Amino acid sequence: MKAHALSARIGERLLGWVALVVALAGWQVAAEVRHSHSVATFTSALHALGKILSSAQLGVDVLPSLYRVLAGFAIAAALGVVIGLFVGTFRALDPWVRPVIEFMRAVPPPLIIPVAMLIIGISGKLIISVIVFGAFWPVLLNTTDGARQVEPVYIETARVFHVARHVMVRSIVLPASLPMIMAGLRIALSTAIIMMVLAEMLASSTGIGYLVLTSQQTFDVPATYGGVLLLGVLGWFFDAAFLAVEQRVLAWNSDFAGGTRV
Amino acid sequence: MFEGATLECRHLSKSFPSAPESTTVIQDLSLRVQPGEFAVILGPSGCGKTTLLRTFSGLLRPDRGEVLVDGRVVHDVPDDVGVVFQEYNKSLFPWLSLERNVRFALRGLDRATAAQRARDALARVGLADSAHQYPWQVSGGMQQRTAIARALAHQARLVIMDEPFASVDAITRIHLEVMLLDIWTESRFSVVFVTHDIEEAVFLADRLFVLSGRPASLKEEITVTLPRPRDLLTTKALPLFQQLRERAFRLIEGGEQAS
Ligand SMILES: Nc1ncnc2c1ncn2[C@@H]1O[C@H](COP(=O)(O)OP(=O)(O)OP(=O)(O)O)[C@@H](O)[C@H]1O
Ligand SMILES: [Mg+2]
Repeated sequence: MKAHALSARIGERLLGWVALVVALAGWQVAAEVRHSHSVATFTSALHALGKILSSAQLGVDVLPSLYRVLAGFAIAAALGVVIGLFVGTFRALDPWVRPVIEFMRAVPPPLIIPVAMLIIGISGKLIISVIVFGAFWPVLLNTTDGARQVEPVYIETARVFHVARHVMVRSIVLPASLPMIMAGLRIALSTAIIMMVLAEMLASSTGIGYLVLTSQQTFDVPATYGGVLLLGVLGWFFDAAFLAVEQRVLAWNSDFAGGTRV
Repeated sequence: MFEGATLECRHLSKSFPSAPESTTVIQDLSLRVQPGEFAVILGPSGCGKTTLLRTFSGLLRPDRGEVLVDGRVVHDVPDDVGVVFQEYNKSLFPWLSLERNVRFALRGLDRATAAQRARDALARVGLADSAHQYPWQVSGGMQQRTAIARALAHQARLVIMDEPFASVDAITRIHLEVMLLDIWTESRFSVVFVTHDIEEAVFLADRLFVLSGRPASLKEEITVTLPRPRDLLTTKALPLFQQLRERAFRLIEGGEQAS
């Protein structure tokens, strides 16, 4: 039974990979046949990607982008979880904060970039700041909702055992809302990547976003596609890594146990 | 010397402004549980049993009247009171193993002592081998046994139980009733056990408080003189058991007709 389920899952995975290879081959063939100036072949994009990763561009464009995403995400996650836990736990805060949260999450995060350019000016801080801004709201929102919906019996149980209010936040509210928090963090991670690319296109002279934009403007078509390829792989990798972490962190949750839904 | 606590409530009333139908859930209820006694509160579904237990344990404040444990008025949950909630699937923390769940009751102690006590408590309910499993990995009956172990772990002198066996299957339920009686016989803490099951009530009780339907008030107090140790087959076959069961049944039925 279990072996069967496992092989079925491997089979499903395989289908996905086959579809990906077919799509890439389709890209390659179409680009070769059409032979357009605006479409690079897959192989030339791959070649350009190799060049990006093996030249000085790695240090100038790729690594700073990675650093910005990770730092921005980490700051947003820490702020969002801590503030969200308190807002969700202490209901008295709710009427004060709720309208702000509702409004801010309705604002498309990219809109902050021109505003931030006015306030902060074009600098290294700008990009991390806007990433933090974009990634913060989904974490805050999910954490607040998770904390607010903690099973009341958990709280009563904690009261029976005389758990102090501030200990309750860490040892009951946090683990109880962890599934919601992780879902928020996952959204935040992809938002962080979007904000990184956009900010680098609009307000930077380094980074993957900048690289893609300038290569397009200088008609270095393969490099443009190489950059796109790189972002795609990075996004996929971040998400896969995130899911692996989530799997471990939520191992106690029957929905995540063993990687299959029970 | 370990001795069970007394529980007393006097002229207890509680109403919820937001509740539908009649807002008064408990009306002028007084009762007394002696040290080491197994008291059962029997009442129809929805009559306010959980509300009553929450006021007993200090989780909820009564509108009128007072609750006393060992003669002291209850404001917050007293130290030596253990509570087993109706929904065992919600009162165990799913992110903790069974042992860690029990250790939650032993937070004040140092690690080694707490771990030892938790393992002892689990062993008493027959779960020594499942200590490291998570709640969702074990059956409902095992989860409820863990909740009982947790309530007992800090040497509670009064254990308050809200329909603890209502949602396990009939066979498991019989085993759990017998297990509970065994543990109680060993250490003689006081028990307040709520149920809507007449047979269970008579089988377990020293003293049986029958509640009327809503608003809950005390309809009758019955002293159950069935001999102990009680046994599933012989006790339930006694004529006295049948009589008590019938009497309780009529009290409950009468209440439903009147309302
Ligand atoms: N916090 C609350 N706010 C408003 N109404 C409440 C609250 N708690 C309980 N009630 C109402 O009080 C009544 C009695 O509820 P309670 O849970 O005490 O009954 P019960 O006898 O334990 O029921 P059951 O047999 O289903 O466990 C119900 O009608 C319920 O709607
Ligand atoms: Mg109830």
